[in-house]
Amino acid sequence: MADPAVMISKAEILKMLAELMKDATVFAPASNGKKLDYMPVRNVEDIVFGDDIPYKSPKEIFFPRTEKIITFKDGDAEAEISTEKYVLFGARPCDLEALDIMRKVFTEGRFKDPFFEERYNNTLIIGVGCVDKKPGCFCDERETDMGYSDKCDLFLGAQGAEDYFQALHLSEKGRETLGRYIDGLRTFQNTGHEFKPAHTLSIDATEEELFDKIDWESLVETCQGCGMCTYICPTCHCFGFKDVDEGGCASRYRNWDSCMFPKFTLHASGHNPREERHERYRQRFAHKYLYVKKNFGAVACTGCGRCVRACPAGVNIKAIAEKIGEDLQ
Amino acid sequence: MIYEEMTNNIRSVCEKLLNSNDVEVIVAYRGGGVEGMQIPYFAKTPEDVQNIEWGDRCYQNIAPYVHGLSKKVGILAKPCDARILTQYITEQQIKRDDVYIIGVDCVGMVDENGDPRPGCPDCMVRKPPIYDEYIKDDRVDSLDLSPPASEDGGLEANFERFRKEIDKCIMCYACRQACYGCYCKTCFIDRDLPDWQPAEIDAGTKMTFHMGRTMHLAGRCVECGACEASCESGVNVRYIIKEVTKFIEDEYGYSAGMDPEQVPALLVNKFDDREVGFLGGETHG
Amino acid sequence: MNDNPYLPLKAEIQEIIQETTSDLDVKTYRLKFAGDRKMEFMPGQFVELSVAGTGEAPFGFASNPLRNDTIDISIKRTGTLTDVIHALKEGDTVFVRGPFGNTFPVEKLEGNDILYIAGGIGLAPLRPLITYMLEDVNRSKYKKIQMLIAARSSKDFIYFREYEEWRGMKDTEVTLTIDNEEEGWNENVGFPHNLVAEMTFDMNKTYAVLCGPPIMIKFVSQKLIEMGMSLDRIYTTLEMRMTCGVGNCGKCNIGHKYVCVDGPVFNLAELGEMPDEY
Repeated sequence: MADPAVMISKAEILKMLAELMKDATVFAPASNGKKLDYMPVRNVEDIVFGDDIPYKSPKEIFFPRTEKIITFKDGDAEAEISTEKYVLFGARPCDLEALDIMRKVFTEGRFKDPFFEERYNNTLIIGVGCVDKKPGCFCDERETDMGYSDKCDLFLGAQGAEDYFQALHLSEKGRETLGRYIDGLRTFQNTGHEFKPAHTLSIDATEEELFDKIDWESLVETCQGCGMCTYICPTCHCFGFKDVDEGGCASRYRNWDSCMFPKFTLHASGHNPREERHERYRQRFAHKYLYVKKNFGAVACTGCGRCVRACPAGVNIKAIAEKIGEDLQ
Repeated sequence: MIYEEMTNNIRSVCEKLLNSNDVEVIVAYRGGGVEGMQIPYFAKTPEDVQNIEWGDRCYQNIAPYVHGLSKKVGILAKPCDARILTQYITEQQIKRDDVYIIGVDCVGMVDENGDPRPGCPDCMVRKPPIYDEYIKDDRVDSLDLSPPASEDGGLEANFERFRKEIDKCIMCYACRQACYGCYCKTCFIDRDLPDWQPAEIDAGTKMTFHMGRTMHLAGRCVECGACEASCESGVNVRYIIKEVTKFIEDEYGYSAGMDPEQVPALLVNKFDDREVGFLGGETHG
Repeated sequence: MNDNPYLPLKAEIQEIIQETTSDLDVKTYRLKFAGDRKMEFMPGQFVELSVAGTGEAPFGFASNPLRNDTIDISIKRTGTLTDVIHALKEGDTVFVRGPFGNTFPVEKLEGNDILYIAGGIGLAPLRPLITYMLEDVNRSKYKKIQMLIAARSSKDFIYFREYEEWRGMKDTEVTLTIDNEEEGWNENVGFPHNLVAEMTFDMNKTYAVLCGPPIMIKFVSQKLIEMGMSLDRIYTTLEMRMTCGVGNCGKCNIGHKYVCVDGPVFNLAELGEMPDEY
């Protein structure tokens, strides 16, 4: 664990967030009326603490569901790059690790994505540790420490007795924020935090083996292809463009797309490289467990368990990864 | 206890069926879902049958799996699944002879917390309308069924409620994918000639999608609740289709999925149709 | 290219050249960037071309990379966007992002004979490589250049105005073929894979570069392999839904590769290592 750590109370955190709200949009776990989500909150009382993990990931703060990226005005094209200031509060370690994978994909490839990057740079990220796993969570199998992640500006260790958190600053931005809003910091003797993954769930195979040795059709026969897993997943990042003429001013929108839909890869000629549902599921799985690992050095699944809980057909990516591991033996 | 007994009955029917080679696969449920949920299962051998489970958490509609299947299938059909199969037959999506229906009574399903699943409390059909084999649950005979109250609160309140609901919607299309009736090869919202594809995902786009879907399901909804249950965002726009369903029942005397011989309301063309709801048509009532 | 790979440059259609005279309508658009900007590119690369308010799609460069005051893009009319493009006139504005993708390995090909096999509009993405090699500064780096250009009918050839010039160059041969007999047609009739069998080339000193309909690529590759050409000497260029061009949107993802950044140019040995999802 990084040093130094301090203890701060929940009341102090809320006070700090109320201050931050004055010139930034604060996203924090709150109810959308029915489910817990990372919502833009205007009142700190709406923030929900505890171990219930928001039903969808915070990725849309950086990579929105729908986003106008280009406007064509006066015969010229202009980029619409966000300059808004954001605070993301309460992101779980699984979401922080996932966000870092997304950051790599969008900024460490051969091109930088300025829309993502600007939002990322303009956001103060405050993580919070988990104490208990929710049914479906498999963070420890995926080598994600539910108690800690350093992929943020400020990290709050799980809520302890009397509503105190261990706070660690992990960036200049985080240090400065703590110094500005928290009075009389009490230093805290860092006792260290050890994390031992239960067992590592990863796929050690070539692309060829994964395609040829696995009976994908029967493995995911109950998948209904609804694609919800891709929408709530913290690392899924496929998208498409849509251009419209909005009364003389044309715009280009970037919207999420999903590799689970047949239309995703459909060519104008009618040919579809991934025609069958199991081929599309294989793409989603292989992309997470092999392709991103090969290109960016990390498995793009942090074990948040969202897709496992949400799948109406009981398709369980953890069970599938385990089965594939066995079949490849 | 009841479910154990029913499960045993179901298993023996399925075992016989698979042994007879009359079907290649039986679509049913097994245990092992997250938080004790029972999940869809394809049994292919007589040995597989021991995995089949029936209980109060067999929520997922499994009838859509038989849509488009080219082999002979057996299916464990609770009433809403049996209604879906009936509807597929009337819409000429499947042939009656290609499915062997093990109908099963249903007192309603619950979620991981034991709360009723969407659609179940309002359900008026507790016995499967069609079946080849019937598994009875005596409890359904003593259920006190009353038709659900109208949720029509007047135009303005309706719109306000709708706006609040779609605010949560992220347009992931899970409701469409979960719906038995959304089997169009290309959904209208995915079409580019004419162009219905959404640009900005705003309230207008969401309204287009949900209203478009509602109209395409007019007189076809079997009230299974899959749209609401599948929504991770907690959106409920099911109350709208409920009103449309009631309208079709009142106006055309048609209830979806009850009778494989009856032609669906949307497939009937009558010259003396009052054309209620259409421009120039009469007013409902 | 600017810092934002998503921000297109404005370009004016300087000239529209009608290529085919059949119903397979292909036109070449000669584009000039606003403010006399130039787009540096190499053979094999592509652009994302859009018409404001209509949409965007990937198209290969079709002109000589050494003469980039303007760029050529050849477009066959096939759908919504290409319909709109075909209705544009000289002087109209389009938007262009790029260049994207990898390039034909021009240096690796040096010192070798080159066999081009193109079908229909498949000649378009090869034209930058052909014209690059035929430039005076480069011509001596490559040995014999043979081109087998196929089209459905005599009216479906693109860039036909240039064939005589190419034929007039030293060590350069152009063979034309069409699918069916036509009156007044004095050149070959038949599919390229049959004609390839009759051509003579040194298997170990020749690189083949193919582009055309998938079925043509399949049969020609099979024939070349049968004739003894090694897989790494056969190059082609893949067509996928390359939406973003920067390796992020996921639509052209095959295995860990993205056709828009790792391709579109691959040799058959490379393709053989990739999952069959194209």
